[in-house]
Amino acid sequence: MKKILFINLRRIGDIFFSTHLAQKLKVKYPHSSINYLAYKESAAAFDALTNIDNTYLIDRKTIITYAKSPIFPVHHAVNLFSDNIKKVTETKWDIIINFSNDPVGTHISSALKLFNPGAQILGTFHNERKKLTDSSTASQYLNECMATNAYSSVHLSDCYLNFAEGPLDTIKPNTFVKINSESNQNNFKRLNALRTNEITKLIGIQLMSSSTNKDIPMEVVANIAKKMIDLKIGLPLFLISNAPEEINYAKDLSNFIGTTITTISTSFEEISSVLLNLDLFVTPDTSVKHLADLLEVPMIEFLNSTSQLKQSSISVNNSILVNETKNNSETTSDLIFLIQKMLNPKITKTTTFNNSVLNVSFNEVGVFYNQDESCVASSSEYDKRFINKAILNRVLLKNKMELRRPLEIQKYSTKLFDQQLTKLKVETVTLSKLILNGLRSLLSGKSDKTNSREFLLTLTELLSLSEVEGFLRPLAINLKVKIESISDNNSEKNRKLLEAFFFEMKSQVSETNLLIKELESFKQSAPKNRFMEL
Amino acid sequence: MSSNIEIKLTPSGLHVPVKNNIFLHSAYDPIKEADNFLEKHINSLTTKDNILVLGFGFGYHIDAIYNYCNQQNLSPNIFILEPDQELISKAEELRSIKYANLITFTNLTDLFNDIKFAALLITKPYFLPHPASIASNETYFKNFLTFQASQKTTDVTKYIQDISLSSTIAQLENTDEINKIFEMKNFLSKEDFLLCAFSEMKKQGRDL
Repeated sequence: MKKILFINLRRIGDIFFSTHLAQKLKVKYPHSSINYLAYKESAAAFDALTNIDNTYLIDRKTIITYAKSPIFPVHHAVNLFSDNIKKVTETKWDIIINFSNDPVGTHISSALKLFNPGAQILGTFHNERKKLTDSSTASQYLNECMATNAYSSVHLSDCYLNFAEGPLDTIKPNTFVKINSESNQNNFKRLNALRTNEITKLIGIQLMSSSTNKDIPMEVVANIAKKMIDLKIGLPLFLISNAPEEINYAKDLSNFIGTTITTISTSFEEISSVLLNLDLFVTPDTSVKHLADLLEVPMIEFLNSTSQLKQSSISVNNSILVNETKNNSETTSDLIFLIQKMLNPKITKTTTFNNSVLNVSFNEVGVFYNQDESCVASSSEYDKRFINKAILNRVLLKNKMELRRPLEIQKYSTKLFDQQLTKLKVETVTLSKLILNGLRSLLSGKSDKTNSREFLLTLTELLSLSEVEGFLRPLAINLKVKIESISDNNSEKNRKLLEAFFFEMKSQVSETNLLIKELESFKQSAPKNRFMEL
Repeated sequence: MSSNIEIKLTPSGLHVPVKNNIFLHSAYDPIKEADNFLEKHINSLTTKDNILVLGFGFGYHIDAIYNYCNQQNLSPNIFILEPDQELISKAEELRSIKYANLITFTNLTDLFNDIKFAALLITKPYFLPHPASIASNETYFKNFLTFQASQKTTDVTKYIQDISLSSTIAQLENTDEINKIFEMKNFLSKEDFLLCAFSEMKKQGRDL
């Protein structure tokens, strides 16, 4: 039996999300045990989960309080920390997954690698010489690019599922979500009693997320609730936790609407059975969203920024509304249309749509967010996202499968896509020149000062590309990581290594050129620009 | 902790200690005085789970707190910090009282090294100072309120339960150097990495 440890030192939603990978590993290793190391403040997540063999919790808040207060000697904090992770360090692990990819998780992974020399580490860790090591290119991308890019072109699930190799789709159903049949029956009865002859659909709305930046604006929530009832679309049910701030928010909303609202206050132990009895769930990016995603509850995810797409829903029937206009009236109108469309796919839009709606889909290279046919693509973000994703998969991960055009390029092929493609071409030419210069210096056989200086200048310029945002930044990072791994003092051996790295990068650039041709063919075969017609 | 305790009797026959020439309770009516003391803190008694009374005296003010909590069906945990064991013994003897949760450390370093007391402080208990007790033992309570733990590794390593972690910390000059292990060393052991993780966690805020 393989003993697998997930180190997940983030929030409740990340723990739910990580079960996609847990599910994948469970299929790959049916006789494995799945275990978690998490923070105590995220422990409620495990109330909604099952089939997890052991959960080890770090009481982070208490440790921090002991450690930061000058009145306490440091041993209180050290003892609590070592006590919390004692069983983890004493257990022999076969696979250790640094899922949270944060500094604490990375140091713990590094320690566990030394406690378990034979274990496979998925994700990032340091070796004894302090060298940061990525278990795979996907892990490198996750660690070096996703954390620093202003937007993330690749979904976290693609990187994480790549940890385990094999196909990139998620495995359904997810057997880690706890389904309590008694609770299901109770909630079925309780919620069914709310349905009337006039209003038959129940639409859950998640009121609060972890940050007000992510929340659906109260005015929008109030307006869609009113319209749902006025148009007899469905009964809005507001999901809240028992936290006082959520209860107060619900009261404020009730005052704002001017009538009593129906709230459902539930714990993580029961929430699955509430979600399963909804006809539709409307939610910002929250932990409950991740749980609903695992349960494949029909869902509209509300995002205030495309930067959140890296952790958005990955259930294929779901839609994502990106609140690009920030105009509450327009957003309400769009959301109401989307709710109607999710409940009745045959419905058609008669007025202009103001925000982008993305539909979740998968292809060979992972999760895609396609523009909905009835909604406008108003940002080049989606083109950038597509190109970045293609580079990760084709050039870095060397997936040789055919790229399918995303819908927005098929239907709306725009100037914006053309602009992004031009940027990619310029970056590729720059990189090609630098690589050729570098190879010329390395292969000339000269070891004079001028040649060395020229090579160093080229190398510096190349490595500086790892610091700036661009399509080919991951290639520069890949080179930087390889160069940093050189630890030999033999200059001839190192020169040979550099040559090999440069040749590999040259082949990556050739692959990028092939990709550019393929992307251009998308553009050429696309119909005329419907973007302008709207 | 040696003290100079005299016992006086009130007109109604109650025992009142006088310590270092300070009456620890009213010489005339300690019960009424205790009720007045209680009045000032009633709100906190209803909202806090843990109360830390600074100074025991002869316990009249503690009686008032317990009586009030019983009447109101309140059940906060009441802890009493009193380093003078002799005072407590006399109160128990003369008043036939016995309280749980008496904290009697005379050495403040030992007090703050005690994990049970540290765990109590973590809960942010309501501090309820008994003015006469504090006046009679001013240095102790002042030092208590301004206490800062030692940063010397020699002062903490003996209390670290994990032997490997303890010996790794023992190599450092002070406990602040735990934050610099990653930069200081060329090769890191598993204990070093665990301490690096600990140090990174310290940098985080209260919310994730």
